Amino acid sequence: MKRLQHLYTPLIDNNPVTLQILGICSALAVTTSMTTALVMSLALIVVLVASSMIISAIRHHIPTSIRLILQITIIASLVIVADQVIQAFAFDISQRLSIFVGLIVTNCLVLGRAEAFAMRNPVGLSALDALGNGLGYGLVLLLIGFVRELFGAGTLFGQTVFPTIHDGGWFTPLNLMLLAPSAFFLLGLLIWAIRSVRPAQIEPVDYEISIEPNRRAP
Amino acid sequence: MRGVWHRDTVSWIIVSAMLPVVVAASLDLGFATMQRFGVALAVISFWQGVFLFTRAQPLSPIALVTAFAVAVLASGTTEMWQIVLAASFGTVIGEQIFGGWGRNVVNAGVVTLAFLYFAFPEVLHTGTGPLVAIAAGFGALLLLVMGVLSWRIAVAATMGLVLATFALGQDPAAPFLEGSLVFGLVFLIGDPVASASTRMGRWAYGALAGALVAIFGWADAGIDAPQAVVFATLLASLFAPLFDAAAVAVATRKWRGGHA
Repeated sequence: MKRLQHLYTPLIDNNPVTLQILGICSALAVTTSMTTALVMSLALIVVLVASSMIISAIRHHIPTSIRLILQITIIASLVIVADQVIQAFAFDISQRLSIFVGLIVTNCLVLGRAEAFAMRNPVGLSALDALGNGLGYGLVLLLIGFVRELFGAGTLFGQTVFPTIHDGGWFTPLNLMLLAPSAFFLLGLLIWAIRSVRPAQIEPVDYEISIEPNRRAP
Repeated sequence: MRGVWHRDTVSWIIVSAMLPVVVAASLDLGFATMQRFGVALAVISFWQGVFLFTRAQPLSPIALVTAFAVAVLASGTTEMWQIVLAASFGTVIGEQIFGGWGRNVVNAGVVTLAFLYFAFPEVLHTGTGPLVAIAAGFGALLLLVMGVLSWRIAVAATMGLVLATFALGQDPAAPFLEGSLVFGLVFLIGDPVASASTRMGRWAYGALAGALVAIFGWADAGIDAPQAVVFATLLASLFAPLFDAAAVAVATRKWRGGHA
């Protein structure tokens, strides 16, 4: 059971997006619809699990001085494969994801797990850890994508849920939801909610503003 | 007289400076303004109450100012749920999560209005006439005399606005006849919390804000539309801490004798 901890702690307790604040760039870019968020999450999970397993398998043979170059090479190769597969079987989604599948290479989450976990742990554990982190990332992406697509366009996975006033329905789409800042706001609110439920995630304050009870100055 | 100048004194002064504008705006815009004002005030008061009970943040009469700014500058909004949504967002994200009025980075009214303009771009907002401009001028006088509105910001913003208008080849007097623009100049750009607070910072902040109003007004939203002044304030108040930090850094360098 202890092994399974690596699978479920990254879901909420040690979530890569909401606690470690990694992978924000893609979380903003691909969450305007559930479809793109889902495909992006799947691509990241595949790349993350495969790269972690490969790096973990050859970890004893990797010279320390060039380990980052090697990790990047492995991750980049896998990303190219994932990108090509998406282009081959889901071309329109690939167009909507634009460069963000390719940019999984630079996603700190992937390199972070390789460097922090896969370099020091056996293959099975690394795979579990990678899967957990990928699922944690996907969970946040899907949550934000759900809110943004539902309130920004009135649809989910492209299927109409709220008929918009443009199609003769009642729902006024919130255009703000389709702009990048809304993902920041939603992510911020999500982090706020999680930390209200789990105060252990709150970082110590950098400095304290002293408030004396009798001080009335502004 | 010690102990009179606390946070709420300042906000009551801003509220009283706003009274002439309230009269002018109700003559100019009619009943719908008061309706928006009432809804916005109720929403902001509700959230102030929530944060009073959950985080012990005291209530502030600034709710009146924020609600009124929203009512005047969101002149085209007729759906009250849009006001409810935007005012909730503006007051919580713009003000309350930072610890309440006095600790916010941007003006809550500006956040609310920017939310309205971005989220519902199909709503057309019209500016107000010269009557509101004159009333806002009287309010500005009171604020200047009481020292709440920094004269440096007022002068710098006016200069920035005039010079940028001149550079764009437009009539430099035209902006001062627009009620919503002058209102924004006095109560949003001149907001004592979200603006810069060092001398040099205030000059730079005011000039930037004024120039941005002219650029947004003449080149994009239209000088008679309220959008220009709101977006200019939003951008300029994000730069305010940078200007202050620069002014402090320059001053520190001087004290240390030029090498540090």
